[in-house]
Amino acid sequence: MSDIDRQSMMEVFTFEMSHMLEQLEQIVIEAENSYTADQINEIFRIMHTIKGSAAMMLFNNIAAAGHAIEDLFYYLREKHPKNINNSKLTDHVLESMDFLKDELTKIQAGSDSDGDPTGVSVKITEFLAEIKAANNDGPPVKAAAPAAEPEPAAPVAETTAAQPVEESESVSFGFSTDNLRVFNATVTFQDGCEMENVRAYTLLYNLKNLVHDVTHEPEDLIDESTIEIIRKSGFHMEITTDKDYDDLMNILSGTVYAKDIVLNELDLSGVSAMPEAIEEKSVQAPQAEAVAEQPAPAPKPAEKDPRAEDTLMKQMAEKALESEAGTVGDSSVATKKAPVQSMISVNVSKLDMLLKLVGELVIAEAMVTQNPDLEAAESQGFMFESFRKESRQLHKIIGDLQNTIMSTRMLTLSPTFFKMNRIVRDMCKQLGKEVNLEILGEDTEVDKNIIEHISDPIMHIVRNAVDHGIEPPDQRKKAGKPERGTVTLEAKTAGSDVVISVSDDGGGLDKEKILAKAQRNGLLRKSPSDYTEKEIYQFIFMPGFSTTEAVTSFSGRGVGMDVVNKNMEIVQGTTSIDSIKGEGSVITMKIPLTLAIIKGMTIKMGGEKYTIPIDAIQQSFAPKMKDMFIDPNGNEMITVYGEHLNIVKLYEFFDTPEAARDIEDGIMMIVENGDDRICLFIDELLGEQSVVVKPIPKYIKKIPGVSGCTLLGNGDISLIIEAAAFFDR
Amino acid sequence: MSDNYDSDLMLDDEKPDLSSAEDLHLVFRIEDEDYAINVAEVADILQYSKLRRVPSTPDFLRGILNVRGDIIPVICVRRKFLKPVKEIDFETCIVKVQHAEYLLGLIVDKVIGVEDIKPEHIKSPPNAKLSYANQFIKNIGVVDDKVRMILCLEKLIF
Repeated sequence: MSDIDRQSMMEVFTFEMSHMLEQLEQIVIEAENSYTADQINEIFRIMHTIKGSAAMMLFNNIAAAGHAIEDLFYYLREKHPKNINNSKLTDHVLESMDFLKDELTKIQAGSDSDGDPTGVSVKITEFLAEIKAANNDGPPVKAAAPAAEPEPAAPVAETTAAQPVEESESVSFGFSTDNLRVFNATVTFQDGCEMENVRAYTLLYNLKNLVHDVTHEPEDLIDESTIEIIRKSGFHMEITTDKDYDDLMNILSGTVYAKDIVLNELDLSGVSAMPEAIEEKSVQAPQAEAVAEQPAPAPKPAEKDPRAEDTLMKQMAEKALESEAGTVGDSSVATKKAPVQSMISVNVSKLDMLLKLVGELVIAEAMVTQNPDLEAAESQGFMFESFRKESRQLHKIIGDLQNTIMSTRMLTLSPTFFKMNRIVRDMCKQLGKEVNLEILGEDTEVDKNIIEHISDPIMHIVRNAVDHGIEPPDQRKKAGKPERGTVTLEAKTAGSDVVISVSDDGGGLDKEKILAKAQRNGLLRKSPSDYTEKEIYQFIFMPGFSTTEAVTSFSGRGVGMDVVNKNMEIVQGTTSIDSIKGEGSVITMKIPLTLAIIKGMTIKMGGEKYTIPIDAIQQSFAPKMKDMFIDPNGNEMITVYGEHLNIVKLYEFFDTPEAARDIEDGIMMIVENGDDRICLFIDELLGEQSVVVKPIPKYIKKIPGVSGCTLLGNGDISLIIEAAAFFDR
Repeated sequence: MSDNYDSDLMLDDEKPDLSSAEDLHLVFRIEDEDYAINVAEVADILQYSKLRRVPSTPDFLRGILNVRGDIIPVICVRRKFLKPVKEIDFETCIVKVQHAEYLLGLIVDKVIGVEDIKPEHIKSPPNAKLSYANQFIKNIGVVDDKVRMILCLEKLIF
C-alpha cells in the first residue's frame, strides 16, 4: 500500500470523524437535560465507531478518550441508572468532544495527534464512578468492575496497534529470499464491528513489513462496497513469507475484532510460489465475485455527504433500535446501508471546474444561437426554422444541466445552524441566562461557497442576540416575560434568495444609545434627527461599535458585527434590522442562493450594455411626461399606478453623456430592494438571459452600483448592476 | 538588432541567441520616446480592440477587455504619463502585463520589439526628479546608442 492509499484512508477517517462529532454534538445538545434511550444508544454507537476507527488509524489517544465515553454510555445503556446529573454529563461529554475536535484539527492540519487523553478519560471515569455510587450500584467492588470491564477492548486495540509495529522494527530487515513459504489466510471479523475494510487495511499495513509479499482479496479496500464482501466471506490473503506457521498466526491473531482466523500453508516449493498463488487466487475469485454481485451495483462508495446526514442519523437511530432489540445482524445492517452507498464524495475543485465549464457552455450557446451571421441572414428573409427549433431544445438541455450542476453544490444549512446550539448553550452557562434556541428551516439549501461565508455572521449575530438581546432572568421576570428567552434562527428561500433571520425576544435595540454612541465616535454624516430607524440600527455593524459597557468573553468588543457586513458584501447579501424596544429584535440577512450564474435583463444605456438581475426588476414600462413631477429639491418622481416613486436616471448615476435624455425616448424600470422601490431610467431593453457572473478585476476599486461583469453572447462585456446601490444614497 | 527596429511585431521570429531571459525587454513607444518592460512581466501583446468603459473610474483606466474569457482592466500609458491623447491607429497595441496577482493591459502607441539590454548598459536615472512622469522610470538602458527608459510596472499601474 502506498502513502496515497494511507492518505485517502486518512481523508475518509477525518471526514467521518468530523461528521460523527457534529452528530454527536447535536444529540448531546438536544438531550441536554434528559437523555432518551435512543439518544444514549446513538451516542454509544458513535463513540464506539470513533474509538474503533481511531484505533484502526493508530490514533491511540483518540481511541482512549472515545473509549472512556463509550464506557460511560455503555453503563447508562445497560443499567438505566436513575440518579444522573444530566447537565454534568453533558458538560463531560462536550469537554471530551472538544478534546477529540482538537485532535482532529491537528490531524487535518497534517500534524500528529499528540494530545493527552488522560485528563478527559479520568474525569469521565470518575464521573462514571460517581453515577454508580449515586445509584447504589452494588458494592464498591462492582462499582470498580464496570470501569475495568470494557477495558479488554481498549488494550486489544492498543496492543495490536502497537505490537506489530514493534515487531516490524525488529524483524523487518533482512528477509531471506530462499526459504519462502506461502500461506493462505482468511480473517473474518466480529459481527457489527464496522469498517471492516479499514480493519483489513490496518492488518495489511502491519503485515507489510513482516512478510515478503501479500496479495489479498478483495483488492480495493478503499471502496466501501468491499465491506460487504469482507463481512460475508472474510478477508483473504496470500502471504509469502519466511516465517513459520506459528509466527504468522501470532501476528494475525493480534487483529482487532477478529472473530476467526484460518491459516493454511500452501504446499509448494519457493520457486513456483507465485504462479501457484495466482491459480489459487483464481479459484477464490468467483466466490468473491458472486458475493460482490449480490448487493445492487450501487455507484461507488458511500461518502457521507452532509446532505445524507439526516438519512444517516435516521439510520443510526434505526440501528440503535435494532441493537436494543438484540437483532443487530449483518444482513439487516447491510440492507439498511444500501441507500447511503449511492453517495460519493467529489473534490470541490472538480465541481468548480464543472461549473466554470457550464458557464462557458451557456455563453457559447448564446454565441451560436444569437450569432450575428444568422441574424443577418434572417433579416434578409432566410428562415432557420429547424435550427431555431433544435436550438430551443439545446437551450433546454443546457438549462437542465446548469440546474443540476448548481444543485450538486447545494448544501443544507443544518450543520451551520446546529453548531449554534452549542454556542448558545455555552453562553447561557457562562452568562447565567436561560435561552432556548429555536431552529427553523435548517434544511434550506445554499451554494457551498455561500455557506462558508455566512457561518461566521450567523454565529456573531446569535452571540449578540444571547449576550446583548436576551436579558437576565430576573430582569425578564420584572418585564413580565417568561424567564427563558428565545432566540429563533430561521432560514427560508424567497425567489432566488435565501433569507436567514435571527430574532430574539429580548430587550431590543436602544435607538438613542446607538445614536449617541455613533455621535461620540464621529460616525454621523447628517443631523441625528434625520436618521431613520433602520439607518440607526445599521450602526451596530460598524467596526468597533458596541453599545455595551461590559466586555464579556463573547461579545462587547465591537468585533464581530462588522464581520457580518463584510461577509455579506462578499456574498452580495443585504442585512436589515428591526427592533422594538422591550420586545426584541430581528436581524435578517438576504443572500442570493448562488453567485455563479444569475438570470439577468440586459439593457442598453448610452451605447453600453448592462445586466440587471431579474429578481430586482418588478416591471418595465414606457414613461409618459405627464406622470412626472419634480420636488423643490430637484428630485424627479413619477406616478405609477397611483404610487409615487423616485426616478434614478442610470446615465446620471454612471455619468454617461451619450444616453437618451428625453424621458419619453427611454424605458422606466421599477427596481426593488427589500421593501423599497425606485424607477430606473434606461435607454432600451435587450432581453433576458442567464449570465455567468465574473468579478470585476481586483485592480479596479469597488464601483458603486456594479457588482460584477459578464460576457454576452457576442463576446461583449456587460456590467452587472447592483440594484441596492440606488437605494443607499 | 537594430535592423528589426522599425518592423512590426517581430516577437515570434525574433529569438536573440546567447542572451539570458532576464536581459530581454519589450520595447514600446509612447509619443517620441521608447520605453521598456522586462519580458518576465509581459504576458501577451494584443491588437487594440474596443474596451468596455467602466463608470466611476479614473480617466487613465480606459475600461475592461475580454481576453479569451478573462476580464482584464486596461490603462492608457499616455494618460498615465499625462501626455496628449492620440487617436487609436493600426499600430496601437495593448500589452498584457502581470504584476503580482494583477493582470492588466497597457495601451501603447506602438510595440517596437524585444531587445536585449545587458546589465552593463543599464544605469540608474538621474537623482534630480524634475517632472511628474519621472517617477515611473526604474532605470535607463542603452541599446545601440538609443535610450530605453525601463519602467517600474508597479509605479505605472498604481
